[in-house]
Amino acid sequence: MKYNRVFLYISTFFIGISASIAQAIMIRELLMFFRGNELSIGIIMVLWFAGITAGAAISKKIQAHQFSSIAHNILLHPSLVCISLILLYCTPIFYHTYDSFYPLEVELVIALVCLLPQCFIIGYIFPVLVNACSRLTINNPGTVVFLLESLGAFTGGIAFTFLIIQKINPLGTTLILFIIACIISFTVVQQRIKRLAIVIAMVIVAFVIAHSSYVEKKLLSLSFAANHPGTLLEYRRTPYQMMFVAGVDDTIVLYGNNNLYAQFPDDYQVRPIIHALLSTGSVLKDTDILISGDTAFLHYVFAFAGASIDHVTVDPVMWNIVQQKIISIYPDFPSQLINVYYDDTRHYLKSTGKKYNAVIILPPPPDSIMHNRLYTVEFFKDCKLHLTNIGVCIIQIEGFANIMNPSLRRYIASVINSFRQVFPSSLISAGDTIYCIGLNYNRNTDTSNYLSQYIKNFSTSPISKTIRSLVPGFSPQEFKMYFQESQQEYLAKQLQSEHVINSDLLPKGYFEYLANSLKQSSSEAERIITNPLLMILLLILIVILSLWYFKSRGTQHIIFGSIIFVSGFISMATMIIALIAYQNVFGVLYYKIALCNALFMLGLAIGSASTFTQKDFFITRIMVLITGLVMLFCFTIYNNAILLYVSIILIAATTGSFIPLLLNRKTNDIQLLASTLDAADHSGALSGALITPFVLLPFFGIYSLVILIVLGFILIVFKLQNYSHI
Amino acid sequence: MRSVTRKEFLHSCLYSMQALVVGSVIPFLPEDVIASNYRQALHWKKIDAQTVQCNLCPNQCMLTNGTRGLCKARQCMDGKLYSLVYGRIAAYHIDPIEKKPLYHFLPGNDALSVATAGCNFSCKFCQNWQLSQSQPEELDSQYITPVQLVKQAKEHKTPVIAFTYNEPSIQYEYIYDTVQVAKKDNISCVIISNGYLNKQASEMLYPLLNAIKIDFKAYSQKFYSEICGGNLSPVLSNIELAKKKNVWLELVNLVIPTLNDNPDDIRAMVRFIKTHCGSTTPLHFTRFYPIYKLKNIPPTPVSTLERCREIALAEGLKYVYIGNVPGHSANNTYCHNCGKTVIERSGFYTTTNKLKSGKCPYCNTAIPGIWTL
Repeated sequence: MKYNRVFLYISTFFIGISASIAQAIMIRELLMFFRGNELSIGIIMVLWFAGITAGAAISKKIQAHQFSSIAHNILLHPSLVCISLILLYCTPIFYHTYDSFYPLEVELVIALVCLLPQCFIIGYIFPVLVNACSRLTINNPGTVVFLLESLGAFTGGIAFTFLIIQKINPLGTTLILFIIACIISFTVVQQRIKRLAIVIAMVIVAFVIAHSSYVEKKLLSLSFAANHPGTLLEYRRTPYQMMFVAGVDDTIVLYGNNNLYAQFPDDYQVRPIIHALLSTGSVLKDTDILISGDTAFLHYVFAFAGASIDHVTVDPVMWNIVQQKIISIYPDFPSQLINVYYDDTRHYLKSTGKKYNAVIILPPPPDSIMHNRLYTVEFFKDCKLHLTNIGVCIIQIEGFANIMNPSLRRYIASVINSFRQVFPSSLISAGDTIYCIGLNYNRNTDTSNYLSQYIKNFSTSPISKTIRSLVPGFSPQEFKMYFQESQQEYLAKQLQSEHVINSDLLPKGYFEYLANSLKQSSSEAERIITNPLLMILLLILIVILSLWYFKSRGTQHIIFGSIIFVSGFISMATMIIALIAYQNVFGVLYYKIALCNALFMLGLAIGSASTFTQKDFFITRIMVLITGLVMLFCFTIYNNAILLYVSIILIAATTGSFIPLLLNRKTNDIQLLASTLDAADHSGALSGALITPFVLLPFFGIYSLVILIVLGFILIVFKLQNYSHI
Repeated sequence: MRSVTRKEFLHSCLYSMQALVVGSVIPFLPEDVIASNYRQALHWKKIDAQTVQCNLCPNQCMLTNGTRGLCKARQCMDGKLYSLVYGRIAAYHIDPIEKKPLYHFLPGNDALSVATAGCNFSCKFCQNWQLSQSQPEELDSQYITPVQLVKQAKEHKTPVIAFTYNEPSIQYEYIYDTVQVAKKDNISCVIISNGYLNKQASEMLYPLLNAIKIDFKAYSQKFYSEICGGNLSPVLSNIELAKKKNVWLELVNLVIPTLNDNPDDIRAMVRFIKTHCGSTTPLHFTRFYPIYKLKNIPPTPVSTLERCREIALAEGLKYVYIGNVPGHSANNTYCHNCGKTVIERSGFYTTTNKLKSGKCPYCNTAIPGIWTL
């Protein structure tokens, strides 16, 4: 009996570890093949929860042979993760498309195939574990299983963030998990033949682990070649992204999470930026310039023209690779004249007191919160604070070719309005790429007057000779093409009706950019996702289905199931808000996603541990929750990561206490109740993942949503108190 | 708590599903506004009371009542074919003619450039995908009659009307009518086309035009079918036809890394042009920028464009340009006889035009093109 208990505890702990590591791996690897933004994370989370819900819902039927069932499942989970990874790497090879991204429905199918089986196991095993604990007459079985699983997930998350991520590739990681699962299972498997099979499997897997880097390299090279031009020169998993470096003819191309970041040489791409800065009257010599963006020629020209350049880049690994490639293209690249700061641009601006004559920001388009935060009104204010009295800020945004659809119009308007709000004296171009020049001083920015002054002054400027020698065929006339009159009139007319602002707390630019990019994939699912009404109907459908499912199991199930559904919904909404808030402040989430998950799991563990006593402590739980939300609110103001981490733990501790609290109530069939609650938790979370990013956030913004969450929790507590007799 | 009965639950499900379906279908339903703007189309034949076949382009769409062609711009109604985009202008700009690009046609002038929704291709690299891949009713548009359009060209002092951005031939009837009006007012009409038109239609339209720019997307059927959703041979026929009909013709090849930059294909394309259009037909190799569905492909290396140009020059073409690379020396026009610069360009703009009556000022060689109104 004692031995069985140990096996049960270890298995529960292991499934927590395996699930959290698998989640971090799958998110990171799927992001590489999908769009690499919150939409992809949304798809992954929805299917993740759908898998767990299905597993938990079906699990009620298994009553006998629980220990062998547990052993099989813990073996099965890492095996399925490993198979999913290989399938994912092979997808571009077998499903070849020229498009940058798969249509949304294809992404859904890929994620479904990769995630559903492994998540099914996680959902399936929870009620079985609770029932097994109950049969061993362990007190508060729900609390024990929930606590151990959460602690396992916490451990997995921490191990992944601080140890595994740097050392072992995903394939190797899942195979190591498989070997651990083999060792655990070996202890309960009685038949000799099965034991022999486990030993053989361990030996084979150990051999594959030793060669996993080679296998991964082969698979990734083949899949890269399937939908990218050129030859893959190298790939690297940096703490911030998956980087691919390819050679296309005599150019070097950089991809981060499969998004095209830069191409070198970039002599012709950056010419408009050179024009933009020179048009302000800058003579470059002894000018302090801050550049954020993957360029080479801009640095080259400005440095040789005598400017002092500070370059900010978040990823040291990427910059080292870039620098090597740049030097192979520009042998006299003046690296020694460029000060490189390995930091997030926003964080750098917050931490430095230095003033610049020019701040040039060239980020990728706002296709994720991480990138959008370099297009918000708050960021432009930070840029302005670091300009001298005669300083200028230059940004470029993806524009329009001849017409704009409503999403594109709102995205462009939100960024330009935000920029103009901070820089009332500004010049905005029109066309495929829009260049915004913000001046920290008053100047007549009438376009024709501004351009004619530039053309007139350039020839007499002391810098003209140097620029002409560095940039072949350079002529200030060229800049006129970005200010074509009818394009500018069209842009002005379109902006007249749009007063929307892109801000950290209500990132309208991001949502509209996303809607526009979905249109480009000609996806039918786009019609549903971008239509709030359809999303609400979908939510209603899920709620009805869930209620029907709970009702079929009895009165206790419908009440408890509804409570946990709301709790799951709110947990997910809070987590999404926390992740967006984190990205707004620190930018890259990729590195810390497993840590945030781990902290959430720690919160769940604390929450479940608090249910060992028979008291409910409702008021205390509400106070803990409100404290967590207040800390989240403070984080958006003070930008201290500790505030966010603690707030995640506190919020999770509240939500994490509900399932064990309810599982510890009297019930005829604890496995059935565990199945209901686990299914309710994850179907609630699924609904939260569906509705929060596409409906609630775009309409309410972060602060309003926090208030909604508090109200939701109060509702749960009242419900719990009303039904405390059940 | 009141429990939900099975009947109530099923009702709720049905209503929700119904709402979802209706919500999804709404954007496809034709609006009244479509009916008010349609014009009976040219080039189609009746198959039976309910069915017509559109013969405008090689897609040859068979349409039953209420259905639209692949171009999204032509619909069968009451057993007849109608154009949904007649005068329904969704994009309206005044562009330098060099932006089309037409380098040997009235350089330094502006063109009143108009477009509607729809296209008979579905190029994955379409810069104007918002126009070309939309249904007419999805875009804000204004109704402009041919007479009004010509009048507006005169008001803006633009000597050229360019039907551009999306594939203009899908607004065939509108162009056909506008050209007749414009001729009377001495306004030139040009189309910026993919050349995907049936012979009968192009024979009727091309002679009326003053210039045609055809996108010669690749010399590869695979590229046309997999990337553009069309076929190569009708395009080749129309390039030949345009030259035969004596319309000023310029060709553009957008070079996309790995998809259509194979030197052998480029050479074959150039040989076709030289054989069927002559060595003085201007050919523009333009730089691809990641857009629409091909955002994973980097911009064309300038060296690739230079290599394509070298191939074309080596094969004997006289006027080969590099486009979308502002500041590149191959934006300029060089006399094919003496090699001196006769037209200098910066971006979309002609900065210096040294031609005298269409001739090189240095060696007096006639430079092919239409240089004056």
